Amino acid sequence: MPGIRMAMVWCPDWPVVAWGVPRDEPAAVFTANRVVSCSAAARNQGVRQGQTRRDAQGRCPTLAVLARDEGREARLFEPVVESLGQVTPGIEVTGPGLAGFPTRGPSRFFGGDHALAEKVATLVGSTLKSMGPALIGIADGAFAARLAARSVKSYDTPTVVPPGDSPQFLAPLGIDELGIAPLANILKRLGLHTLGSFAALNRRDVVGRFGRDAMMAHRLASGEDEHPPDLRMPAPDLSSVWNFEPPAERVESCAFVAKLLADELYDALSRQGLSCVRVAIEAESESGETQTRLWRHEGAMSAAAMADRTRWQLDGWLRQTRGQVGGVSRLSLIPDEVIAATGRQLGFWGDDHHQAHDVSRSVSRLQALLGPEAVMVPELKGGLAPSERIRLVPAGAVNLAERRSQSAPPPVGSTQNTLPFEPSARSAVVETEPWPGRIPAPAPTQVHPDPIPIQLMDQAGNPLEVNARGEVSARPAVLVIVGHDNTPGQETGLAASRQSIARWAGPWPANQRWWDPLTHRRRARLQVTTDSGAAYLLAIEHHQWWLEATY
Amino acid sequence: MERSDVVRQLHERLGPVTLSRDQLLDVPKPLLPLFPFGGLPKGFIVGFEGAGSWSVAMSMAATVMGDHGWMGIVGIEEFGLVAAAELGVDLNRVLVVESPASSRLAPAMGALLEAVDVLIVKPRRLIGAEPARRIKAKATEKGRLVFHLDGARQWPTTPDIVVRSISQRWEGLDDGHGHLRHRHLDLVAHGRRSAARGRSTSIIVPGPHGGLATSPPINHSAPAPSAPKLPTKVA
Repeated sequence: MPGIRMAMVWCPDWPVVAWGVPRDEPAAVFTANRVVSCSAAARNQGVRQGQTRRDAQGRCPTLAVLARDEGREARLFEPVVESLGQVTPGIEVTGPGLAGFPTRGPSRFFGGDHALAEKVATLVGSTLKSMGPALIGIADGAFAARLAARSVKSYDTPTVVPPGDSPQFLAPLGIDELGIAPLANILKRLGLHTLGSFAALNRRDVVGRFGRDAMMAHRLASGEDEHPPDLRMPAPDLSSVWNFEPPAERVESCAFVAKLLADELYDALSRQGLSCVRVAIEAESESGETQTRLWRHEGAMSAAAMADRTRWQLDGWLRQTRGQVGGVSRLSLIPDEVIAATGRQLGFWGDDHHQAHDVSRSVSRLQALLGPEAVMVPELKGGLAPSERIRLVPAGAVNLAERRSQSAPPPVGSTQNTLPFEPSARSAVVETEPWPGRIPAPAPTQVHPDPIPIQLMDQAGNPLEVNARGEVSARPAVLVIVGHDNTPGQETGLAASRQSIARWAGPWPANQRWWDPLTHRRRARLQVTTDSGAAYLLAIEHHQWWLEATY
Repeated sequence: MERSDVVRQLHERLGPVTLSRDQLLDVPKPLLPLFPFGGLPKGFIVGFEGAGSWSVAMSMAATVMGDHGWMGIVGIEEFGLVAAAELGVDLNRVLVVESPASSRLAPAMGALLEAVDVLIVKPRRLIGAEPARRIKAKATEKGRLVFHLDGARQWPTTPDIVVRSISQRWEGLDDGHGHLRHRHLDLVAHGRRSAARGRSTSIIVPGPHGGLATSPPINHSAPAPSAPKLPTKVA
C-alpha cells in the first residue's frame, strides 16, 4: 500500500540559515565540536557534516563558527509554517527546516499537484525572502516527498513524483538516504547500494535477519509510510491541558508548564503501552484565539522532546503576536498519532543519553528534597568582574541533555574565527569577543559572594584612594582584613589579619550603568600579591575597599 | 590438580576481573607524580588544602569529566566557575547546589552521587559519622570521586588522599602594572594504604596551553620533581 501523498517543504542548511548568514559566506553550525550543518559556500570549500572544528577550519580558514540554537531555528521557521497555513490546516512539522502536509485536499482545490507546488513555493518564498531557499517535493509517502524535495535541481521547479511512482523514484537513490548508518553499511557490504535493490528483498527475510528497525527502513525504501496507518484513535482523555491563571506572557513560565504537561502526557501514554509520533500543540490566547500546530518525530517522542517542541512553538507564537492578543491562557498537548510503544534498548556500554537521563533524575530528586530553585546550572555571560560573568539558572528550566552554550572560554591568547551576524547572535559566541575593561584571565578560583571589607594603606599608614582619573594615591603596602561575619576564618585563610603587599597592578576602573542613577556603580579594581604568595582581587567603591576574590 | 591451578584456570575463564578501586581515572599528566597508582581509583575521596589547591581540584575534575562526565558542586558559594571553565570544565555539565541546610547536606550529596562523576564539597559544619559513611559507600559503589575543598577536617572519615599546596608564587604582576598570568605551586600528597608515602611535584597553573604544566619547584633547596626519592615526611 503506497504511503499517504505528501508535500514536503525543506529549507536546506536551516541551522546556518537561521543564524542569518548570507548565502555566500562560509559558515558552519557545530554541536559538540562537530559540524551539524554548513552553508553552500563552506561546502564548496570541502566542509562536510560530522567534521571536527579543526578539520573544517583547516579546509576553510575563513569559516564562521556558530553554536547550535534549536530554539532560534524553530522560532524563525514558524513564519514559514504559518504561511503554509493559507494552503491547508493539516501541517506537520518534522523539525525546524522541514515541514509537510497531506496533499489530497489542497491539491484538488488548487487544481493539481503542480499548481499546488507553485502556490506553496510562492508563499514560502515571500516569507523567507532572501534568507535562504526552500525546496518542495510531492510524492507518495513523507520519506519519498522529502527526497523529492532534496532532488530539486533549480530552486523554482518543485519535484512532483506522479502518484504510484514513488518506488520507481526511490529505486536509484543511494542506500545512505535511509539515514541509518549501521544498516546502510551492512547493506553496502552485501552489495545493495540503492534503495531499489533493498526494496526488492522479501520483507519477511529482512525482518528475520535485521529486526524491526530494518523493517521500517524497508517500508520506506518501498515508498510506503514508516508506520502502517493505525486507525485506532487515542482516547480524548489522554490530552493534557493547563489553564494559566493569570495568562502567561513569558515563554519561561510556559516552558515550565510545557515540561509538566509533556511528562503527564508521556506517563498517560505509557500506562496504555503507547508512544506518540505526532503531537498537536494547542495554545489559546487571552482574547480567545486558538493556534494549533502538529509536530512529528521519527521514532517515538520522549517527554523531553515533547516539552522542547512545545517551548519552541510557544516562543515563536509569543514573539510573533507580542502584545496583540495577550498571553497564553490555555495550553494543551494532544497525542495526535500514537503507535504501540516498543520500548527503547539502552546501549550496553551506557551511552551519553543514559547519563543525561541519570542526571535529570537526580535533579528531580534534589528538587523534591530542597525545593525547585535549589539545583542550578551555570551559564557564562559577559561582564567585567568574575562574579558578573556567571549566571546560575534553575536546572528545571533547561534541557540538561543539550548544550546550552559554547561554554569553554578560549585559552589565553588564542583567537577564534567567529563572526557575529546580528546582535542576538552574540549570546552564543560572547566568550570569543573582547570585553573592554575585563580583568584578564586567569579568573580567580574563589569569588566571595559577599565581598569582605578590608583596609588598604600605603607605607605611611594612610588609607589608599583612587582618584577620578583612575590613579591610585600611593603605592599600596599593607592589607588589613577586618574579618568576615559568616565565614569562619581558618577555612578560607581570611581570618582577621595584616599582610604586606609584595606586588600590585591596576587600577581597572569600572563605571557601570552610568546612565541610570539608581543602579550606577563606580568602582576600581586592583590585583595584589602578598608576601605569603597569595593573590587577591580588591575593589574600591565609595572610599571603602573590598576583597572580591582570591586567586 | 592443585587447588591453586583450579583457581588460576577459573580466573582465566572468567576473564579480567577488576574491582571498582582498581579502575583508574585519568589525572592531568603533571600531577601523575602525586598518585602512586598512575591515576585516581574510582570511589576515592580526595582532600585539597592550601592556597591554590582549588585550581588543582578544578583541573583534576575537568580531566575526570572528559567528554561526557558531570560535576556536582555542593555548598560552595565562592566556587570560581569562570576559573573552572578556563581550566577545562565544560559548564554545560555542571550542577550547583548552593547552600543546602546542614541537615539536608548528606541527602543532597547522595542524590548527586547518583549522577555526577565528580562531587565537589566544602562542608562548613561537622557532618555526622553515619551520613559520612553512607556517602563514602555510595561513592565506592557508583565509582564516583568526592573532592573536599579546604575543610577536610570537618569530615569524620579521613580522605583517601590529601593534595596540599605548600607554597605558591604568582607571575605577571609588577609594581603597578602587568596582570596575574600564572602561578607556580608546590604540591605534596599524603594518603592511606599504598598512598601513605608522601609524594610531591611542582606545577604551573594555568600552563602555556591552558590546564596544568610541570615546573621546577619554587624553593630551590627542595628536590626536583624528577627525582624519584622524595621526602617521606613534609612538615
